[in-house]
Amino acid sequence: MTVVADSSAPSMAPRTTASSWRSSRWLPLAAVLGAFAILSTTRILSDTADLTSSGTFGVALRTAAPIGLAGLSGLVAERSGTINIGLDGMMVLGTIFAGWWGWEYGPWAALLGGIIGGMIGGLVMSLATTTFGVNHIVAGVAINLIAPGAARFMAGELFVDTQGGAITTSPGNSGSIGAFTVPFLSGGDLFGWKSPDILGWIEDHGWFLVADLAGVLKGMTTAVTWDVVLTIVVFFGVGYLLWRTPIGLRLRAAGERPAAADSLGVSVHKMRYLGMALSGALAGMGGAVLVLFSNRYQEGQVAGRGFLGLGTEEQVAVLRELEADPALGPVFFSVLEMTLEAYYRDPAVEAVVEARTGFRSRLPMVGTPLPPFDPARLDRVRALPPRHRPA
Amino acid sequence: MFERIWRASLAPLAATAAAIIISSIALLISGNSPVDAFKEMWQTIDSTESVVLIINRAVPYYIAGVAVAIGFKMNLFNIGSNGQYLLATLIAGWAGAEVSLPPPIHVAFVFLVAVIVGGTWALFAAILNVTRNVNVVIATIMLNYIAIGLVAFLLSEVLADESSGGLAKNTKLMPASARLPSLNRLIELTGFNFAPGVTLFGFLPFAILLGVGYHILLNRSRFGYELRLSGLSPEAARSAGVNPKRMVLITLFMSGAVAGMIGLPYLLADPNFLKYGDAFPTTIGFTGLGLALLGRNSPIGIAAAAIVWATIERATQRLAPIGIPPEIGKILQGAFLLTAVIAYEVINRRNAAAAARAAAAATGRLKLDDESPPPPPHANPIAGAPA
Repeated sequence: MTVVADSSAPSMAPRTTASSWRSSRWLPLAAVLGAFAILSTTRILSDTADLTSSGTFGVALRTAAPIGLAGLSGLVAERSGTINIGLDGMMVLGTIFAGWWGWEYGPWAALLGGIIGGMIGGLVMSLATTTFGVNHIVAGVAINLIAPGAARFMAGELFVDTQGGAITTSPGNSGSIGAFTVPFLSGGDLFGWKSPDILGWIEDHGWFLVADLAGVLKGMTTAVTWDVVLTIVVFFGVGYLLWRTPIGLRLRAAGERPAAADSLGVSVHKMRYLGMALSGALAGMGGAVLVLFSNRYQEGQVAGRGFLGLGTEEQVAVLRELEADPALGPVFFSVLEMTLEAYYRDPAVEAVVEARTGFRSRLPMVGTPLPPFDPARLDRVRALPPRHRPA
Repeated sequence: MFERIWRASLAPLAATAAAIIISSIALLISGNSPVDAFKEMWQTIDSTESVVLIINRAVPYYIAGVAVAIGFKMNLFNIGSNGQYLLATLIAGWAGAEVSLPPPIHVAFVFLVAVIVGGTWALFAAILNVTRNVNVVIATIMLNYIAIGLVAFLLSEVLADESSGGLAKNTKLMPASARLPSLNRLIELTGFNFAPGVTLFGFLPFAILLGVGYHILLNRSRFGYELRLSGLSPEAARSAGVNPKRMVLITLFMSGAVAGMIGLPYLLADPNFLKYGDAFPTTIGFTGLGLALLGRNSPIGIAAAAIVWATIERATQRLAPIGIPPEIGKILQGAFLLTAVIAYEVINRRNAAAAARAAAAATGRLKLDDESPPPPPHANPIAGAPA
């Protein structure tokens, strides 16, 4: 087994002393500051205030949360001795359960549902890998195959024929999860009193570097939804659990030196089940955060796609806004085209096309850059006789 | 002989039964009748047309399975076959349409381009592994994304056929000299007639040749011996004089080269395609991973798995009109894969335990606990790899 690296090897390798500057803890900080200086310069030179605005980084935090949770899920699995290739599938299971419970019982239930959905995936995978000794990659690939099918199947049973629901989307969560703004730093409320917004004040002055840093900090402290707050807590919690508690030590021992753990009376099987349950729960929570972000379950939302991640009403609202402003005309058309394309790429539409014609219209990959909009095509449509145009 | 066949088919039979039971439960929970569903599925595949469609669809799956099986045999997980075939098909499709050559040479040229591109793409991961000790799984997975981006860029900016216009981008149609004729004529010689509109694609013989070649290379050549040895015991291989780095480089190149051929049945023989473009199937490489595992890396096993896969896909196509969600097909496939690998593992353990008991009985010295299987391999996370 020389080619596939042993998971325990990297952590056991002694840190090299020769390259001390590389392991210096100041380097990352310097790199971040350097990157900031570049961003800040770009903002001033190109006059694009949004580059480092609090709004941008607020969205960035929300987008990063599910990715971070997925990473954490992989870490827990790896530490407890399972390579979790199936975490994508567990995330999908998280989204479908979150969409279902969020619709029936509200946003907090969505979070819980996501965790449970992911946990089911983790336990099924652990059943295969731990109890039956199936190759981890094999079991993971199988989970990744089953999960989208199961999600689609459930969506068909749960959401079709409901108000606003379809096989690819849930009717929407009942209620929103609410948000939290830090007092003093970003002007959050403190027992009904509105505290001063210090970071916002700095950001508005547009000073080089300082304003940019303030924008980033404000973005991360303003209207942070509770699921993101919880994500941050979970990060610290998992770190504490793994490295500061007896159970964390057992979990890591089961992954790194199972024979040693076994000889000290730790049940390696139990620990691996626990690790996979936790890993699945984290991946499922990542899925739930996605569902809370777009306020509904959408098929393939694990692949996350900007505009398409919005709900239908939001999409319509954005389109109306764009249409009303003549200066934004080109944007309107490209968004329209994206929406149309999203429709034709929708698996449900593809399935109908394939069922009726036998032709697979599957396009090569999600996220292929669209060709620039060609206004000549509109002229061609205009030139058509009126009967070809919808009323 | 019969016992061998019975042993080999025990796990797939158990898996089939379990998959049918699991999907029946899913159907029952959702308020559908499993009997109706399976009846409809049977009626969909019960025609010559369906059989031909299933074979046509199974051929690329089969190639994808063989491609990764080559790596699996020495515990090299080439998860990147998907990117390798997308890139190889695009470039082979473009190059094939650009040149004009006499028919057999033209087809050979397209093959060569696809094989070289696919192999080279896999070779990047091999070089990273050999020189910098980068994990092959990670490197090949990541190269998938690079390949997907590269294909999207090349297709939309460089290699697209500008004359076609319209939104969809694709390479030029393959010229007639690069197309493989359908096999209908050959089949009709045996007195069997196809319904009009049904074509058996001409790639099938190449796929069969590939399987035979794979079998011979693996089981009848020195290289194949070294490859299997490296998979079973890297230490033993090294001490027997096998150069592990050379093995990684060659094996991954070969795996990528075969992966490069995955798209060729569509490119050279399917009248609906004959070009690389937006409508091209894009996930066959990933399917191949599951099929290699189902087929236990043997060419016949992979062929059987590919046919099962294609059959399920075909069978569930007409479920929607009678009100049964066709997604049951995905559940059927997933459940089949998972239960099959579990069944293989369980039977392996029982065989190992039986062998241990037999050895103990023969020596008469050791007393083994009758029911306890050997402990599962904990030490390495990817232990229990398909041998």
